[in-house]
Amino acid sequence: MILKDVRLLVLAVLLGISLYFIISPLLSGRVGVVVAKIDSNAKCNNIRLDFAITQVSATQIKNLDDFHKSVLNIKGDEFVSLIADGLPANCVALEDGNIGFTVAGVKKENLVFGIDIQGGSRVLLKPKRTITKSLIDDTISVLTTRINLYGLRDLRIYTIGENLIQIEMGGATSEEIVNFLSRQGKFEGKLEQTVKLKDAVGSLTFAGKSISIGLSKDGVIFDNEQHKFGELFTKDGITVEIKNVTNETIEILSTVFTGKDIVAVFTDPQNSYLAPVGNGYEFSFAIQTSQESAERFAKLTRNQPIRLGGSERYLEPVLVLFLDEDQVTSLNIVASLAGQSLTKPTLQGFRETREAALNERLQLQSVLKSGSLPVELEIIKTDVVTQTAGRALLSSTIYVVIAAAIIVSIVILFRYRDFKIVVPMLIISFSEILLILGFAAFTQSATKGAGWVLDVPAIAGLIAIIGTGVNQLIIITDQMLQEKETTVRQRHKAAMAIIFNSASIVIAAMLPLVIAGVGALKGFAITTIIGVLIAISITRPAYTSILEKVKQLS
Amino acid sequence: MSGRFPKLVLLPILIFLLSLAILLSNFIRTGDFILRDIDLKGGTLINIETPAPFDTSKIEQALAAKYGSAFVSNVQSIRGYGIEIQVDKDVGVNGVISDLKNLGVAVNSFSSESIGSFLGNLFFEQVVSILSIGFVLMSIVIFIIYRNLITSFGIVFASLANILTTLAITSLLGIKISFAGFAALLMLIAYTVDTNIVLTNQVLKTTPENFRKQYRRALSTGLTLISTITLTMLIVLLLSPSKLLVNVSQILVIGFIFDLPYTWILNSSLLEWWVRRRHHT
Repeated sequence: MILKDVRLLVLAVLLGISLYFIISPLLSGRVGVVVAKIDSNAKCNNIRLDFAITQVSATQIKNLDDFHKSVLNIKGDEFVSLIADGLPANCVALEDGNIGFTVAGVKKENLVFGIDIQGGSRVLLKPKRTITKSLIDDTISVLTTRINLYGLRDLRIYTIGENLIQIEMGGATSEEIVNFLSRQGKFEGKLEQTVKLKDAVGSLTFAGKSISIGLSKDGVIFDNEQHKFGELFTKDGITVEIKNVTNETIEILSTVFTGKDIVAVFTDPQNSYLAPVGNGYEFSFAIQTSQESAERFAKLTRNQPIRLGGSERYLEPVLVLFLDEDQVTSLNIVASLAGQSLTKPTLQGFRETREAALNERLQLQSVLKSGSLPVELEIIKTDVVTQTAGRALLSSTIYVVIAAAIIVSIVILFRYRDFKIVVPMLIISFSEILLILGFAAFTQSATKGAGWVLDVPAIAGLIAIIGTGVNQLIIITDQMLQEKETTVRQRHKAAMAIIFNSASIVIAAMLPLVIAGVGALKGFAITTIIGVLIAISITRPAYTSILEKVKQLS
Repeated sequence: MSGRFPKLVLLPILIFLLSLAILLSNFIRTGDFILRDIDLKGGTLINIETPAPFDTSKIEQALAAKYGSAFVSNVQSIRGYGIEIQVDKDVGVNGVISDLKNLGVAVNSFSSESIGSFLGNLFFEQVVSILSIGFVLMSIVIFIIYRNLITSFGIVFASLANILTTLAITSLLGIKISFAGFAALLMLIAYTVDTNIVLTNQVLKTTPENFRKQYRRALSTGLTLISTITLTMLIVLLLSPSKLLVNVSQILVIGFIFDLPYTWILNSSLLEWWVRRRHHT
């Protein structure tokens, strides 16, 4: 019977397709973690992107936690055997805790829930000055590079309106990640000299020559030139800043290199290390800087006075590295480097735990590699949802939908007193939900994870669709059953006229919301429109077919 | 009755005028027609799950002393108890959480939202313009469908009046309109238009003699619609822990109730008058 009716056939086929897209990832049987990113200098065999990792050394890997725990104990240069996509593979660890690739959890479903359901945070960033569309695009590409370098998965970046940037992060999140992403990444290396003053005058070595410096009424006299406090000026092609002026000392900062001078950031074990020091861990990594900056270094360090530190002889000035105006590292310069070109400075840092040190190093490396953001960003809105809160919402929404379905069935049963009407109505309503979810799963599957995300507004849209859907079915039923004085064909036409009129009006009302796409409500509007389209083209025609058959109207 | 409107028509007209008066007095007193929730105004909101109801007044006093003004209330849902904390200023969530820990509140699971006043106002302007454009588009579609000024006007006016009354009632009840509340208003438009289409399609082509019969048929459909959807929304209202879903359902329930006078008294009277007039000429 079903196969003979085109409307029912279409519904049955599409229901099957929807079910396939919703549950197919569960059937594929892949569990555990997959390779997300392979280091350029990894020493691995048989490891490729997206390979499923099921065993590391002798440990079975079922999830991300298993993987991270087993990798944490691996020492540098250790040989590690693995099972990747069911086949033996191996790697030589690059350093402690790094076997040359990172992994991500396998996506088990095509239905992707928003961070308001699966937990996570949503951050809205605004440029500190008005910028053009192309600068916003540049900013987003820098952010995306950082995310990829850092190995973050499950993170989405969108633009909102003209120039707002929204970042959504699923799973465990921290303010740290947000701060990391929104770091402008303005990098500078400066030679810091402290000049002692006597009677408001002193001297220092600058570009190989000894020059005088002294305090004046409203500033500083630097080599017979008048400058204000805090002023940036150029002297012999070098940017100089005067800071922290007191009656006894003046600090002179001469720029050696900036972010533009970074040629490479080293992550290999020869140029990057991590070691326990005192009650924490010290990390370091080298960067390669440009030839011009190397020459500036040579020029600035020539003829600098020497001091003794322990058994080593150092230049008196130190090289200070700044990120976003904050001091990251202060480096002693070995006396033998004076007047030489320095092209490979090393950044150092210290954190209390090994994990924090590894994280900080990776963040610094990612920021330096991705370059600086074209504009400073400020955080104007943050939403945090813990996973329990989000899960609670989803489970209670399911209860709400079930309770609503029961109440609606009671009302329509009371009204029509006929299971031949109530049961088809419920089946059709359920089909509408399934088709919408199937469509959501299809978009995820077709775009490999960049598809439609189900958030709370989308769930609200789903509830709205069930509500209006039942309404429309009631309208169809009344139109088809009541008007005994007209033919079935006429009644069918009248019912469909109401359905189409109301659908076009709903779509007209929701359209501005989809186009303007303000924040969270876009999901609501899209759900409603897709639901209405599915309903008028598939489920409601099928319902009239069922109704005509069970009530023997034709 | 011929040629005249029944006295009952005065009821929806009175409700409409009263709603306008409420909105206007809101505007004169506060500079705003409605109560805006923090996402359309700016501020910080934190929801915390707790094992049992709390004495919120102590927390409220402590937070108010620190941040100027704070509202703390117990909330209950199917999942258990919780407290909701709202601070009008955009203060850091972590600061408030640590204040709460100092006050002896166990904070295990929480969700929060904070938004600057600049963005709040921006969102407000955006949703108001979206709602207005949506309404205009919808009116155009209605006019294209019916190609008749009187019936189109009847439907458009019924939905406009319903929105304004719903907003007036929410402000009387102290219900704040959030971002999602505007989505609810769009849903309300769609719903009101539905009932009006059922009514209009049923009675428009009939004769004055058959008008009552056709009206009753439409009404029986309309009452089934309103009872199913109102009950659905009441369930969401009572059971859902989601602030967003609760705000949507509050607005819809109010809107559905006031759809009754506007559609089934006001618009139906207009349509009856129109059917008689057309028949006489």
